[in-house]
Parts: sequence; structure tokens; C-alpha cells
Amino acid sequence: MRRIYTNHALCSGCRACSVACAIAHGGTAGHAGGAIQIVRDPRWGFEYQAVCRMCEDPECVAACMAAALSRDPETGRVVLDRERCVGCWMCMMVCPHRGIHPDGQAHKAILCDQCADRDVPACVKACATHAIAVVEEDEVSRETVRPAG
Amino acid sequence: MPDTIHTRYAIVGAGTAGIAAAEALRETDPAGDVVMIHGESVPPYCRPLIVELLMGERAADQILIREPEWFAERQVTLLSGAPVVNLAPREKHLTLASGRTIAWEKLLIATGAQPATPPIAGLTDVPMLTLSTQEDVARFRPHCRPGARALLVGIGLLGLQAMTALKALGVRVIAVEARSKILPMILDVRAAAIAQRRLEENDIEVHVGTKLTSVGRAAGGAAGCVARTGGGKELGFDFLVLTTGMRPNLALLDGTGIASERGVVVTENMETNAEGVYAAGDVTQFHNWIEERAEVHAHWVNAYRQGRIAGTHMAGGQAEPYRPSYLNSLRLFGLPIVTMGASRIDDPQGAQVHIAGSEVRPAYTRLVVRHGELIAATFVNDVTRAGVFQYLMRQRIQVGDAAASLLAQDRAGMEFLHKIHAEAISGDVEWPASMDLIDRYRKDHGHTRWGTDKKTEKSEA
Ligand SMILES: Cc1cc2nc3c(=O)[nH]c(=O)nc-3n(C[C@H](O)[C@H](O)[C@H](O)COP(=O)(O)OP(=O)(O)OC[C@H]3O[C@@H](n4cnc5c(N)ncnc54)[C@H](O)[C@@H]3O)c2cc1C
Ligand code: SF4
Ligand code: SF4
Repeated sequence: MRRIYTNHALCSGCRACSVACAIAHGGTAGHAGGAIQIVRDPRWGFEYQAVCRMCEDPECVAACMAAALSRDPETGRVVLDRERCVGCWMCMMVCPHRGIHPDGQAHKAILCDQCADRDVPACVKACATHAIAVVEEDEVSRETVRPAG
Repeated sequence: MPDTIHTRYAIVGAGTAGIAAAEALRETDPAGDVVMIHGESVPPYCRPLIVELLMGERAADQILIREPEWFAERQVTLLSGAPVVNLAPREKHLTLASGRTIAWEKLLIATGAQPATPPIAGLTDVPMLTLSTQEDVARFRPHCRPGARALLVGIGLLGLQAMTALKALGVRVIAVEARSKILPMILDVRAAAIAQRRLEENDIEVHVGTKLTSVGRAAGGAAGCVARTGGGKELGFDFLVLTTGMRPNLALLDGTGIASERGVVVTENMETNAEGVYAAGDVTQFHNWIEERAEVHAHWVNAYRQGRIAGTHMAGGQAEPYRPSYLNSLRLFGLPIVTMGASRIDDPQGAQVHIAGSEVRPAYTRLVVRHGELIAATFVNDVTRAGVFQYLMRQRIQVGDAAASLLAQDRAGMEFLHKIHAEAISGDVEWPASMDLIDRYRKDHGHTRWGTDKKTEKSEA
């Protein structure tokens, strides 16, 4: 099982991850279309990466009134079926981690898919400060981290 | 032909509470028989999405709560179009309208709620609609001609959904609310004013503080109908839509000895007072710790969470006790609003109110803190961070002085949140130790802080 870790102390707030995510998922080159978003306080320059933590007991699944969100116990991945999503933002109302984001254009939610079909997730690849890491579960114990880029 | 089915688990209701219960009990007990009973004849569906159905945005087969395979994979026997007419908790069986009986060992009552009917004279003399089932949607259809006038009674969540659909269908909407503000159960006056403006900008005729006393056909053979208000006003309309709220479906409980007041009385494990009988979802009432009273909080998230807890206990598993969160997510013609807790109370006693607004666009955020705990939050327009506050409220985390920082999203507020996150999901946010090698890029926030500290020192000196 894959995990994406973020480190706010390394994040420079440049949003390259959001843009890379948006592009990788067929969107436009704007940060708003990314499943990873940067939350920041512009005055103090404090920022962190808000991305889905793939909760074991996900609140968003409980909240989704269109049955668009579900958790696959095999991969441990929380999956969003965009076809079913009605853009009610109930998931955003409950996610304690700011892990799910609004797609204002399509009026649907955006959720990290961990780039399941890619070797290295787009955000990990894009981050210049190595503030995002991807770890495969069987590697977690050994703590070998796939280098970015 | 009357016969008897024997099952380990019977679930009455295939709404989100019933589905969540089946899902959870299967995780604990992979084998015990499950029979799920759905009173309506169409396959179980996502109730809120009937609004999409009415608008024509989605077809009936696109709002299914689960695909047919879901039931097959979990070996859940679904009986649709099978209203239950009698519950016998002592004998541990129930009877369907068809005469069939089902003998069960554990029972879940998840029958949901139905629209309330306000005391207005003449309701049966005019075309009157409610919106809670697919059948209701079919009844709406012939009335929804462009230009027709709908008189909508009750501007709450349900009313808002109904008017959104009616408006999209070209129907003219006249909406009345008995209380002095719209969405009176969830918005404070300032948020309600923003919301009302939004409705009016979208050509909804809004009358607050307006109670209908009677309705009837227009006099002298004129087309349409007329409603009279307590204040002596007359409002013309073609059909009436009742959206004054929902009432738990308690009819089945009569004479069973299962305790109910406004809803079925349940423990935090979703047990009723009858042995082996559980209840979950809109049919239940629960103790509201903020306002210290029993309350029916008809809401999807509550129904799902309660269903999971009930299902786990029915199968003999262990679940965290139920903690309610009073949540609402609404959209007023594109304007998103999220509220939680006692957000409707304008001047909460013994509490501090923190407000942030915007002059340039309709944005408004309000937090209410009592004894250091968050008891209400309202987000107009900026809803994406609402979930964090939901968590703080439900877990009753001491926010104390951080409230103002949280609202301002300043550094102190962010660091507070980050700490809470790290505690709540420790392990999950743990940065892999090997990655700590890469700290040459580590940012130094210190210089900013240091610079400011110096300034403060100077000015103090
Ligand atoms: C138009 C509309 C919009 C809504 N929008 C929202 C929203 O945006 N957000 C939100 O959180 N909530 C919303 N809700 C509320 C939400 O739908 C409910 O909170 C939720 O569906 C409750 O789930 P439940 O499982 O308790 O009951 P329900 O979904 O109502 O399911 C009840 C089940 O019990 C069955 N049943 C009832 N009586 C019998 C009987 N005698 N015999 C056999 N079966 C029976 C029914 O057939 C059904 O299967 C909305 C509701 C409506 C009507
Ligand atoms: S969206 Fe939020 S609640 Fe859902 S799995 Fe991701 S982090 Fe958890
Ligand atoms: S916005 Fe989409 S994914 Fe989120 S709760 Fe609503 S329907 Fe589900």
C-alpha cells in the first residue's frame, strides 16, 4: 500500500505540486486543479500541503450523499468516482485534514488518487525541496524512501 | 403466500443508515444472514439526490445508493417494495404487508423520516406537494410548467433544495418562512441576511415572519389558489410545496414498548430499550451536548455514522460510542455555506463569538467558543476548511485562545492546527525518518519571527 507523506517545514509554498497534479490528471496548468493544495498564511509565510491521508476510517465516505466516495480495503485507497459526485461539499465539511478539494469549474470534488498508475506521483516529482515523499507499505518498515525525480 | 424467513439480522430501511449498518456488520460477521427491507418499490437510492432527479440532471438508475452487485457480494438479501406493517420485538419477528413474517435475532430500525404537515386550514383543497421520495418527484412533474407559481412553505434546508430545483425548471417561487429569518435552524441573523439576499437576487420572492393560516382555490372561478397569512396578506399560487421539516417514522413502534419521544431513544451504541433491537438514522433522537436537550438531527452524516455503529454492535463487535456533530452543507444558487453546532443562536450565553467577513464578496465566517470548546461555526463561501472545525468540535478539543488565530488563519492558528493534526493522526503524518536527511532545504521561519521580535522589543523599550 502506498503512502504519500508531506513535510510542512520543507514546503516553500510554490505550488509546483498542485500544478503538476492538475496537469497529470488532464486538467489545465493551474494550481486550483490539483488534488494537493497549499494552505498558507501569506503574512508569516507559514504553509503546509493539504492532501488526502487515505484514512482507515474515512469521514468523507460517511458524508458522501452520492455514494461517490468509497474505501478499497485491498489498496487502502479512498477512491472518488467523479461521475457520481454532485458537488455538495459534504466531504469538505467533514474531512479533518483538508484532504479533499473543490473543483469549481466542474463543480465536483478532487481527490488524490496517489498516481496509482505512475511509478512516482506527479507531486513528488515536481517538488524542488523534496517536501513530499512516497512510500510503499512493504517499504515502510524498512524505511526506504523512493527518491523523488 | 404467507411464509416465514429466519434470519440472524433484519434491517428495516435501506437508506444510508441501513446500508452503513450492513456494511459494518459484514466486516465483523462475514456469514450471518442479513435481510434488508425497503418499503419503496424502486431500488434503494440516495435520498438527497431526488433533487437531481427532479431537475432532470440525473436518471433514477444514476442515484442508486449501491449497485446491485454490492448486495450480492455481501450476501445481503434485499426485499424491495415490502413495507413492514408490524414489529413484535418480544417475539422477535416482524410482518410485511404481504403477510410474510421474518423471524430475526437482531433488528435494526432505520426507517428514516417523512415530511411534517403544518397546521394550515384547507391543505386538502389545493395541489399540495412534499419532496422526500421518488414517488414525490413523479407527483411534482405535471405541476412544474415554466411560469407556474409555487408557494413554498418553510425556508429550511429542504425548502432550499426544493426551490433550487423548481427555479431550474422555470417555476416561479414564492417562499414563506414563519420565523423572522430564513434557514432559522442553522443560520445566525447576519448569515441569514446574506442568504436571503442571495435568494432574492435569484428571483425568489421571500417572505419572512410570515405564517400561513389558510389556503384555498381563488374566488370567482379565477385560475389558481390563494393563501392567507396571519398578517392579513394574500399570496396567489398554483401549487403548494410543504418543506417545514421532517418527522421520524415512528408509526411502527406503536404498542411495541420500544421507547420513543420525538424519535427513537437510543444509547451511544445505538441500542433501544428492547433487547436485540437497535435504531439508527433520521428515526432516532440523540442528546445534544451543546444545547443539553434531546434532538432529532435528520442528516446524512449522522445516519451513516449511527448505522455503522449499530451494525458493528449487532454483529458483536466493538465500536467507538456515537458522538454527534450537527453539520449542514448547503448551496444557495452557487453560494456554498457550511454550518455546525448551535450556529442558529444569535447571542449565545456565556460564549465568545468571533466573526470575520469580507466587504468585497459575500464571505462570512463565525466561530462560537464556550468554556474553550467550539460550539458553533458558520462558513459562508469559504467552506474548504470547515472539516477541520468539525473535527475540533466533535472531539471537543480545547481551542481556547486559538479561536481568533484559527479564524484569521494566521501562523499561530496554523501551528495549532498542525499540532492537532499530528496528534490525531500520528503515524500518518510522521515524516519518514530517512527523509530527514534532506534538511538542507529546510526553511527558516525564524528570521521573520526574529525580525518582528526585535521590532517589538524596540518599540517597548
Ligand atoms: C430532498 C432531500 C434533500 C436532502 N438533502 C440533504 C443534504 O443535502 N444533506 C444531508 O445531510 N441530508 C439531506 N437530506 C436528509 C437525508 O436524506 C437523510 O438524513 C438520510 O437519508 C437519512 O437516512 P436514513 O437511512 O435514516 O433514512 P432514509 O434514507 O429516509 O431511509 C429510510 C428507509 O426506510 C424505509 N422504510 C420506512 N418505513 C418503512 C416501513 N414501514 N417498512 C419498510 N421500510 C420502511 C424506506 O423505504 C427507506 O428504505 C435530504 C433529504 C431530502 C428528502
Ligand atoms: S479526504 Fe479527508 S477524510 Fe477522506 S480519506 Fe482523505 S484525509 Fe481522510
Ligand atoms: S462533493 Fe462529491 S465526493 Fe464530496 S460528498 Fe458531495 S458528492 Fe461526495
